Amino acid sequence: MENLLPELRKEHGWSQQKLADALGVSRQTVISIEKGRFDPSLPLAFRLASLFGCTIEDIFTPDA
Amino acid sequence: MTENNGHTKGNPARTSWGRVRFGARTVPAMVPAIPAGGLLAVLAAAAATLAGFSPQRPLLGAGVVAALMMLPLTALAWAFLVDRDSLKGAAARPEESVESRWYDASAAGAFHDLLTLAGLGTAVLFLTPLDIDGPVALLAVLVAGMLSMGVRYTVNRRRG
Repeated sequence: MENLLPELRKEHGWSQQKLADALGVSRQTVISIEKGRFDPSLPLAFRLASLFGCTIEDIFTPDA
Repeated sequence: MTENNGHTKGNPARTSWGRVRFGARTVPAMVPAIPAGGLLAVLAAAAATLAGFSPQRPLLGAGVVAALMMLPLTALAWAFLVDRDSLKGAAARPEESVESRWYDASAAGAFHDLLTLAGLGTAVLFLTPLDIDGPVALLAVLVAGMLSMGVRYTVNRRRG
C-alpha cells in the first residue's frame, strides 16, 4: 500500500522514533510502513490518522 | 541506563535489563533472576544425577550440568520475571509492530518445514533399514525447527 506517512511526519517535524513512541510500536515498524513493506493493522491505521488529524484514506492509498 | 523515555510519573526508569515489581517497589530484574537461575540449575543437576547421568562421578556430572544450565535458566527466569514496561526501547504494543508479523510468518513457515521434514523422515525410516533412537530423532526435529525459525526470521527482517 502506498502512503504519505513520510511527508506527513516531516510536516509535523517528527522523527521516526517519536512517531513510533506515540503509536506504541517499534521504530522499525514506522520504517517498514513508510517503505510500503508493512500494512498496519486497522487499529494502528486509525491511531495514525488520529495523530495527524486526518482520515485513513488521506494517508494510505491501495496499490493500483 | 536510567533514562526515563517518557514514562509517567511514579513508574520506574527504563533500563536495558528492566526491573521486577514487588508490590509498590521495584528491583533490577537481575537481582532475583540470577539466584532463581542458580536454584533451577541446581535442581536440574539433581534431576540429572538422579536420572543416572555420570554414575561414576556424580558430583562432577552434577557440576557440569549446573554450570551448563545456569546461563539459559537465568535467562529464562529473567524473561518470566521482568516487567517489560521497564525495558528500555520496549514498544507498548508489540503485537502491532512489524517484528510480530515477522515472527508469525517465520513460525508458520517453520511449522510447514517441520511437517515436510517429519514426513520425509518418517518415510525414510519406514522404507530403509535405518534405525534412529527416539531422543536423537526428537533432537533433530527440535534443531531443525529452531534453525528454520531463525533463518526465516532473519530473512524477513532483512526484507524489512
